[in-house]
Order: sequence, then structure tokens, then C-alpha cells
Amino acid sequence: MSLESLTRGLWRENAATVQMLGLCPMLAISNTVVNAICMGLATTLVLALSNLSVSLLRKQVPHEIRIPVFVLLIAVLVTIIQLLMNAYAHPVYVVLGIFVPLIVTNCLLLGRAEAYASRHTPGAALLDGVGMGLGLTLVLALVGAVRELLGSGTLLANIDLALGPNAKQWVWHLFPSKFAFPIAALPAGGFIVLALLIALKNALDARRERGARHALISDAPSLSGSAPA
Amino acid sequence: MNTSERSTKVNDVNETTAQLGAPQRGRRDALILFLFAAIGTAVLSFIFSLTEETIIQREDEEKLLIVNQILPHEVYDNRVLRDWIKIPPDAALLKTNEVTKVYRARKGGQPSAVLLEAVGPNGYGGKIRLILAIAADGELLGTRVLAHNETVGWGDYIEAHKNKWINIFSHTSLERYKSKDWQVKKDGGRFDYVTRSTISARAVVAAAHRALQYYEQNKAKLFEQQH
Repeated sequence: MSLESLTRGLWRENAATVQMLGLCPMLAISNTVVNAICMGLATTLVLALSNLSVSLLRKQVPHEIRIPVFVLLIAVLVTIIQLLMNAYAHPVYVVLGIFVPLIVTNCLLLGRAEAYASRHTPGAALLDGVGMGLGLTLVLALVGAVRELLGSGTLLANIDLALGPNAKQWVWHLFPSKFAFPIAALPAGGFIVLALLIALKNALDARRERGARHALISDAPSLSGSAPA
Repeated sequence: MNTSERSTKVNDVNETTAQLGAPQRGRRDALILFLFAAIGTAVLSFIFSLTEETIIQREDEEKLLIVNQILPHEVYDNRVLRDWIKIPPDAALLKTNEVTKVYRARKGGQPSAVLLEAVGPNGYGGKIRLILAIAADGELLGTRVLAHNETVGWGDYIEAHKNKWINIFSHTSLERYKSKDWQVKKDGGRFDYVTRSTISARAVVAAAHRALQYYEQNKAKLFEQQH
């Protein structure tokens, strides 16, 4: 259990740009920043709790029936979150609609339960879930920001639904919606923007790797000091 | 670390699997799965009973928000959200394919208005669900879009918080607008629309027209029935 459990979900094993798991419902709802963040946080909460409970129960679950048990756990958790959101965050729940119960089908949840939580201690599994969820939320929020800006000329629209009517003044209207680029708000726009973000991440990684290799070569003749990480 | 590992391994259900025969293993797995299902169901029913009341309250508040927008306060003095009947799907005029609720507004015990759900099946993105407030005398007091799939930035001007367009239905009626008036101006009617997104307006206008006809044919029934 280390900080690595938390941070690897943010960049190196990011759920949206590297593992590319459970993206379809996520992309459908990432048409605005607020939608994307709400959906991302709901998923993070479920992911953290499902990782934690899978890890806690991993010694009580026979190997042969682990998948149905994990599915059951995830379904129970999602339904709990759904009921609580419906009761205490009703406007957000109405906006996210069908996509809240659809968190059950997000294969990231079962993926982390099976590949990580069922083999690690509860603390590490919890951190893994939080890290993976936040990494996903971050990418969704970026996708949402680009789509909202291009698709309707605003940022943070509907934030009052999440934070109360006082937050309405935080909405940025950057240009009138008639100059907007509607395809960005459509599902196709979600895929295009995500693809561009993945390309950007890969380019950054490639550049860093080139830099590291370069440093390694120029350091080599001196044979002194520690090797760069 | 080592001692704790050893002590937890004793409890690991998978450690004992090899010692069991197939029938025993099957019984054990069935029992464990059943236990998980039972505990899960118990937890869910507990959370459900905890949140049920709040959820009903929130849903009522949400409806009341719409009711307040389309039903003037002076029209009613009853609890509109508690005075409802269910009506069967109506393929001809409301274009609904499920049972919907009709809310009745009354003043001094006398019927004053109904809130009726209707569907415009032919929007650009499919169905557009509407709620309409119709006064007892057949005047359309107001309407709001409950759900739609029109293109964001194009056809979504039918939403009240994005555009005032939807208010053009206030004070219309079958009496004041003849049958051919119930079309967008482009088609020879009396309703405005937004250029490039005519289909959305067309669907809403036609749905409102049909809903008024439904009310005209069924008004006696709508007010009399008890729920």
C-alpha cells in the first residue's frame, strides 16, 4: 500500500486514456463540465466502495463464484448511491437520469474488483479506487469542458443544480449559442474530443521518454551519480 | 506482517476448497451466494425505506416547479399534486404508450384546469414529452417540455429556460385558433418557429393541438373520476 496506488490512476494507468474502460455511458453524459464531474464523482464513490468491500470480503468469496458476488456488490452499491442521489441531490439525479443506474455496467468497476481489489489489502484497494475514479473524473471534466465550450459557448452551465441557486452566477457565457459548433455536444463530439486528449497524453509521454533517454545517454560517459528515474 | 498473514490465511475460504468434494463445494458456494444476495437485499430495502419519503417529496417539488410555471395561482385552491387520476395510453391524440397521470385543479370545489401529459412523436430526435395546463373552458394556459432529444443548440429552444418560444401557447384554444392555424407559419399556421429547426416546433405545435382535442372529447371524464 503506497501513494502509487492512488496516483497511477491519474496518469500512467488512467481509466479513460490508457485502460479505456467503461467509456460509452461516460462519453454520453460528458456534454457539459458539470454533468461530467457529477457523473465522475458518483462513479468514483461507487468504485472506491466496491474496491473496499471486494477487498474486505476477498477471503470469504470462493474463487468459482467471485464474479456473481462482485456484480451483486456493485449493483447494491450503485442502487444505494442512486437512492441517496435521488433523495438528497435530486436536480443532479434528474439531469444524469439513466446514466446513474448504468454505472453498474461500467466495466471499470468489475475490472478493478477482479484485477486489483480481490488481490490486495483494503487500504490499497480503496486508494486504487479513489485514484482510478479521480483520473476518470479529470478526463471526463476536460472532455466536458471542451464539448460544452464548443457545443454551446458556455462553461459550468447547470452548476446551480449541483450547488444551489447561488452558484448560477458562476456560469460563463463565452459566446452566444448560435455561433456554437453543435457536433461537439453530440455523442460523436465526445469520441472526437476524447481521441484528441488521448493523442495529447501519448505525445506528452513520448516526449518525456525521449527526454529521459537523451538524459541517460548524455549522463552515461561520466558514470557518476544516480541514474535518472 | 508474517504472523498476520498466517492468521488471515486460516480464514481464507479458498484455502479449504481443495479439501472438499464437488457436491460439498457446490452447496457451500450456493450458500455463500445466497447469503450475499440476502444481505444485499436487506441493505437495499433498509436504504429504500430510509429515502422513500424524501424522494416522493423531491419529485413533488420538481413537479410543483413546473406546475407553478404553467398554472396561475389564482386558478386553483386545491392540492393539485394530490388530485390526480391515471388515464390509459392514447395512441390517437396524446400519442402516449403508457399510463399517464392527469392532475386536476379546482377552485371552490369547481373544476378549473387539468394538467395533461402528451407526446409529440415526430421531433427531430424522436419523442418530445410535454405537459399542458388546460383551463376548464378549453383555453391552453401554458405548456412545458418534460423531456426531449432535440439537438443541443438547434432544436432545444423548445425548453423554457433556453428560450421564450414555448410561451406562444399561452391563451390559445381550439376556439381562437382554427384547425389550419395549428401549424408553424412556414406551413401556413400561426405559430412562430426558429429557422433551421422547424421540425422541433412542428412536433410541439401538433402535439399541443392534439392534446386540446383530447381534452375537448374527454373533459367530463377527466374531472369526474376518482383516483
